[in-house]
Parts: sequence; structure tokens; C-alpha cells
Amino acid sequence: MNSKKKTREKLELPTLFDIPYKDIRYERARLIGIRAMQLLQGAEPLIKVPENLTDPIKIAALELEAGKLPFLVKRGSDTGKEYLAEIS
Amino acid sequence: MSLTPELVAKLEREGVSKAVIEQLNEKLASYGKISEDKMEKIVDRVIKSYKRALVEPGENVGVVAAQSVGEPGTQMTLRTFHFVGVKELNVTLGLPRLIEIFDARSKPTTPTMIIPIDKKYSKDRDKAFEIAIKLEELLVDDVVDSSTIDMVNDRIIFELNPNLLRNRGISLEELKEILESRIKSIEVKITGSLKKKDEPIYMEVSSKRELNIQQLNKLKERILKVRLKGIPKIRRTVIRKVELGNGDYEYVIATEGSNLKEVMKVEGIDRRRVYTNDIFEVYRLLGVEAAREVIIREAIRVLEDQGLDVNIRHVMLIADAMTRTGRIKQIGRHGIVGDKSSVLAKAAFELTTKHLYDAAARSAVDNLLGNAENIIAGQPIRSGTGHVKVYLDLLKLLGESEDGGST
Repeated sequence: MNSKKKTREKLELPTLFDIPYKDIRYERARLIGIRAMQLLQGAEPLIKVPENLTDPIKIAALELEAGKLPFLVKRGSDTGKEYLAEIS
Repeated sequence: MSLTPELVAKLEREGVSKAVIEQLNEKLASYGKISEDKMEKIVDRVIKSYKRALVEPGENVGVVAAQSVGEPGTQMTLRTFHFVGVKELNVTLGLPRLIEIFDARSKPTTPTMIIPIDKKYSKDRDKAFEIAIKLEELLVDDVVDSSTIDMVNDRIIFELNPNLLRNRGISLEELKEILESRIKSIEVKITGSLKKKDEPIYMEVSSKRELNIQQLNKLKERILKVRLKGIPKIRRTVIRKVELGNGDYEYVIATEGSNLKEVMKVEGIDRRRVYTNDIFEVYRLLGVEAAREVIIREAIRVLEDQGLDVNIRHVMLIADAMTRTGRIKQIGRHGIVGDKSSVLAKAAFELTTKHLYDAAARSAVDNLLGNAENIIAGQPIRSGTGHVKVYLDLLKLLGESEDGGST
């Protein structure tokens, strides 16, 4: 639990404004890409996959939408520092 | 109506830039009363539009800017000169001018200035003329009709144009005085008078020293170059009436030739609004920021003149890239000079082996930051999706499994 607190603090680095990951198409593309790759290699989906949905890219997109992906994105802030942003 | 402090705070919190807030305020001022509800809605809309217009991190803005200027550039006419009405000045426009701007040439082919007149008499055409005449450079060459070298008596004889002298208000005594003070070794004798019409005026110049023909010729050239009046490099002036909208107008002086420093000293002109198209002159006198502004204005004007609609942000980015280092750097076929420190990037362009040998001899390091380097190394380039760095969120991963997740 202690380490969890640490992550939160890191997140609160001063920045002009946080852009939600949804608004950055490059981040979306990258996250979905990485996750689709994992799914393709046999990872268990983190969501309940609708029936007949077999496209790993679409599954990955649904996972991202549901906020289940265990990823962080490194971003530069306008203060010149880098910080890790949660994606959900 | 104008924005309440709360709304301004809201806009600022959302990251809307000061310039946009200012513009919004200005725009709102021209409307009547707006209800609080509507005001709120307007602000929300502005925030939404503003965010939509933002560039995403990772976007290849440089490439987009290059294309956005490059493609319309192919449609520009190659016609260099153009005249607006009679007596107008002729200014390089179109592609040649655009190349000139981005190449950061130290002198434009046609330097020009726009000199607004002090508010007090900006509507006074006569006053504008008076100042313009003061500005215009007058060389001895301009008032001389013909010149001959008298080899027998070792002197030079100039035939002066009395009308020009009278028009520009230079007396013969003045002329003699200026010449003798400017070139110490000569003696000037002027015969004739400005009062008598149609009578030629001769000016004899002899040297105190013994001169041969070549030296006499040189002296003649030197005398012709002596400036009698005005500001150096300002070759011609034209008075222009500028409509300011709402029936308001003012007179400005447009010039051929540019000399920002000296013109700013002249009395009766509006020093703050003097404009020149000579980027380097602005850079030397007012600094990079001003020079950047001139680059933007000049480039946009050229594009707009040709009827090309290029967003100013692209031009701004280019101007920023050119002036980023605090000096003006040209954008040539090597990109922005001195920007490439990477060995592989240089090797990818020209003289591949030479660059590689040199690098090996110096045991140079390449950090693979640029695009060319990463492509050589077979990696994704660091832009777009390649710009995103993804880390594993261990906390989330472990938390999920503790909650009974299946992974």
C-alpha cells in the first residue's frame, strides 16, 4: 500500500493540464497495439468478451475502454519533467 | 459584455491561452447583454473548440508544416514583379520572395519600409510629403546632369541640374560646403546661380594634390557618391493612403530601400510602427523576437498575396525553428543548419563513408534520437505512436489479481 501512495504523488507533478489518454490518438493506438499483441500470444482477456468477437484489436479496444489495462504512459509535462500517467 | 473573473479563471484552469481569452473578451465587448447561462455556454464551447484545436503529443508538426507551405508553394506563379497602380514601388513577391525569407538571406532583393506618420499629422498629406522628402536620399549623382574630366587643367567639371537643386532645397553654397567637408583634399568652384532660369550651372572640382587620370576618375566617382540629404539607402519614397476602416484613414510613407535605425530617429514619424521587410536589419536592431515576427508577417503576406490559404501556425512553427537558437538560421536543403549532431543522420545524407570514418576516428556516440538514425537502426522513429512510452502498471496488475482476477 505504501508504494501505491508513491505513484499517486508522482502523478501530481505540476502540469498545465492533463489531456485524457482518450484524446491522444497515438497513445490509444499504441496501448491497443500492445494489448492486442499480448492477446494474440494467448493472454487472458481482462473483460468479458462478447460472443463471436475474435478480433484481438477489438478486444483490446474494449479493455482499454473499460479501463482494465495495467499500463502507465510516460509523458513530458510543460515543466520539462516527465511523469507516469494512469490511463484510466 | 465581458468575461467575469470566475469565467476567466475557468478558462485559465482549462489551459486556454491568454491570447484566446483576450480575443474572446474583445469579441464579447461588441455584443450587448448576454445572460449568465449563455455566457457559461459560450465559455464551454470555447474550451471545447480550443482543446479540439490542440495538437496531440507526438504529432509530426514539422512535417505537416513543411507540407502545408510546400504544396501551395508549387502553385505559386514564378512572376517576380508586380506593380500596383502607377508610381508604386516594385517589391519581390511570390516564390522568389518566399525562398528569400526561408533562406534567411542577409539582404532582401527589394528592401522596403512602411513608415507611418505621427498621429498628430497622419491625415496631413503635405506633412507626409515634407517628411518623405527629408527621408529620401539625395546623392550628388542625382543632381548632376553630366560630368567631364578636364585633363589639361586637372579638374572635373559637373553640369548641375538647377531644377532638381531647387526642388530639393539645396543651395549652391550648401553643396560646396558639404562636398568640401566630406572630401578634404578638393576645392570646389561653382559658377552660375539658381535664380536665373535655364542657365547652366557648372561645378569645377580640382584637387589640392597632383592627380593622374585614373585618380581623377576615382575622385569623380567618389564625389558622385556623396550624400547631400536624406537617409542612406532610402532611394525612393511614395505616399500611400491607408484605409483604417470606418472611414478613417492615414498617410504612410512607403520606401524603396531600408534603413530602420536611421529612420527611427527622424522626427514626425511613428517610431513604434515603422516596418521594414529586411529581416536581418530588424534582428540587429530589435532582436530575434522581432525578427521572428517579421519572418511570419512576410511569409504570410507572400502566401496571401498569391491567394493561398496557409494557416499561420505552420509559418509560426517554421519561424520558431529558424530563430530558436537566438540567431536566424536558414532552412536550406540540409534542413536547419547545425541542427544535426548525429553521425548517422549526417551519413544518411551525403558522403556516407567520409562521415562514418570520421565518426569512427573520433569514437563518436550516436544517441539515436532523430528519425534517420532510428530508421538506419531498424527501430520505430520517435514520433506518433513511436513517441508513446508505455510502462507496466504493476500496482494495477497485482491489485486486479488480488481482487480475484484471472491473470
